[in-house]
Amino acid sequence: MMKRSMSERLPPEDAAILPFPAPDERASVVDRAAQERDEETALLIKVREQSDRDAFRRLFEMLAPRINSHLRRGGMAPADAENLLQDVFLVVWRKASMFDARLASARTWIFTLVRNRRIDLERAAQRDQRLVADYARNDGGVESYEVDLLSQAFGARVGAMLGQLPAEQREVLIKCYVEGKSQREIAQESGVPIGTVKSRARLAFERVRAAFGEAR
Amino acid sequence: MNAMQHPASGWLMDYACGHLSPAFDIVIATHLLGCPSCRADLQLAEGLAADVMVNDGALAPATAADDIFTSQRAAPDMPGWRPSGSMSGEPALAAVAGNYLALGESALRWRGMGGVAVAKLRSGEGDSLWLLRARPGAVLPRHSHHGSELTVVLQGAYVIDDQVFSVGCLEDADESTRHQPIVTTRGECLCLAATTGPLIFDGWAARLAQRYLGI
Repeated sequence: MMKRSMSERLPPEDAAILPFPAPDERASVVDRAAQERDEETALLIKVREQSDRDAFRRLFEMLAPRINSHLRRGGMAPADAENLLQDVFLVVWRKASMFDARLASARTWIFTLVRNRRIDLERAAQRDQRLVADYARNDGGVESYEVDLLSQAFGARVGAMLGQLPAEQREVLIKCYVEGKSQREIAQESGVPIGTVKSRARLAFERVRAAFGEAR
Repeated sequence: MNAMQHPASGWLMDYACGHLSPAFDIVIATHLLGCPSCRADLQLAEGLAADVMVNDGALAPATAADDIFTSQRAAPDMPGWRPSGSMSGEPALAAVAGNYLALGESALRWRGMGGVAVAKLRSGEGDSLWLLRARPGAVLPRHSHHGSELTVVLQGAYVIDDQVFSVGCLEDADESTRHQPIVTTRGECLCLAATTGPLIFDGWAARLAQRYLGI
């Protein structure tokens, strides 16, 4: 079956209330993001099928600096981030056979490796709750996230969709994904009942499902 | 058949981002084992998190790609969370149930009362993971919660009001919920449950039992 392109799944331009990227640039920004994702996946398949070193080098070049930045922003010490990165790419190089492109893109699979390794290490070190507090990298609350920052954080693909969510649903997604807070922590911090956070998350996720549900 | 009961999306988002304590992580993972539609939602939730990771700036690491080829280190054993396609649904959950029950008396310290027994599997980060086992037709004491309580059914079924929770179903309760599960008469019910903080029981007899069970 032919995969629909990202631009086909975007809302009509007059429905968009997101000022960034400008409507005429949006399709191309989204296409580039989609191209990058597809390229990463193609490279990982080459690594899996042919142990292709050049493909691995290129994939490393594309993702390693981003994973490193992500870990460091999350409060991880430089040496720990470096170790985790090596663990993850050792798995990518030696155990690429575990990757199944029908289930996830390369970046999603590699994200799950990063996440699982981080959880393992944190649990081994008797996870310090203060780390969770350090994880938040924006103390100014959700209002300080300008709409263009949404696109920076989530990428143009998701940023465009987030711009159209009601503020309280957007806030739950941002706090969960960008600030690394659980729904329980979000409820405590915002002073609303946990049930309210759950229903906001459910509504926000329905939009995610509607926008991207068929893509993977 | 009865409709499957699923975790709210927020739980899948927390699971995708790695925000959950081990107890809640295990309960969600167990539901996912038996639930293809939540696995599809999880893939979406992980896809979002992957985009956030990739858009989180760039900082060149000291490690180079070529270091990986020559590394003497063992790759860590981390399969990435993917339940195997060869076994999912009820058989997988039955296997999970069997594994727990096979642990036997030495590993599981069951404490029982009135047809209901509980065994604490682990606790940490303020949360506990429990195995609950109840005789057919058992009525659990009515209770509420200080925090979240997630329960996944491994074997049998129970009813709350007009909702049936059968194998694979996940019940999501918290401080806003006050419930009294009743086990169906068809067979023994085995559940895995994660809780934050102690439960709040109605009535002195139940509170006395609570002290004994340590739940």
